[in-house]
Amino acid sequence: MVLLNKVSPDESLGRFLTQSKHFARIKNEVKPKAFMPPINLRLSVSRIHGLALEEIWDIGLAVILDMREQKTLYGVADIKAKTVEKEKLTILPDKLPSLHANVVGWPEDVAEQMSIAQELAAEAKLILKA
Amino acid sequence: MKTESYAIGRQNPVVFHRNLGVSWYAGKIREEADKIRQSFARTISFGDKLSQILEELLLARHEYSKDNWDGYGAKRIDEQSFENALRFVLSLPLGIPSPEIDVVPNGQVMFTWSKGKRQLFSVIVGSMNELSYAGLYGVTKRYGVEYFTDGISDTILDNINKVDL
Repeated sequence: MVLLNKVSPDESLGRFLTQSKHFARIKNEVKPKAFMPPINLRLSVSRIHGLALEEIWDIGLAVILDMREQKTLYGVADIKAKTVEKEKLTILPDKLPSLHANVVGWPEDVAEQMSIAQELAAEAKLILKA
Repeated sequence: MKTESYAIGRQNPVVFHRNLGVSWYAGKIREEADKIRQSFARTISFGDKLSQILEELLLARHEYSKDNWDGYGAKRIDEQSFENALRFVLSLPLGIPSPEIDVVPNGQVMFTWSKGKRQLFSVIVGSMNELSYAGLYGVTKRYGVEYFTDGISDTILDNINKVDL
């Protein structure tokens, strides 16, 4: 799939997992906390469709290098764009060739945010870094 | 009155309504209530589980003691949310399985009961005694806000039980 400036519904988005509480290794599950929006309500994701795992980890390592706190890259939660949009959220991609995007349009209510995060986590596929 | 006795029966028996009195008698009652609560917490059957939850809460307080723990500007653990979370734990009815404890980006404490991706319930304890909750049971979603004043509401307890742990 050739990436367009607009994100396609079938495109895979990756949410990098930087906390051990973002996933349950034994159950092979992504936890809702991985999808809880940060306080600026812009959830950072990357457009990972069609990329090899090594390329995904390279992007993930670059993402955590940009964070102000030192983080570990545990893996990625892979989710389809249409699942995100079904929750009435909007995906705002950075200009290509950047593969970064922000998921915006989150409600202010923390209970509603958690409900959406639960649905996204239930639909996401966990890929752990070896 | 039937409703009230049912609600009280579902609460932890060592949880007393908040004593906001300022008199000498109110102070004595508060001291006695604390003693009973502490002795109950030391019993083998209940004490072990409670100590484990309290220990996890304290660990979370340490783990999330600094701002920006998520790399995206998350707030450190909110002290009032932590205190309310302690009171919430002490109010849980006996027999409720231990929840997972975590902190969300706004610094509030979160409890989660989970039996799988689509069988889970979370409560986020706010600093103003608000309990923001969300549950996912198959394809059914439940979320809302309840207030924690004289115990945990039936809505919250019913959702915890719905997880079928």
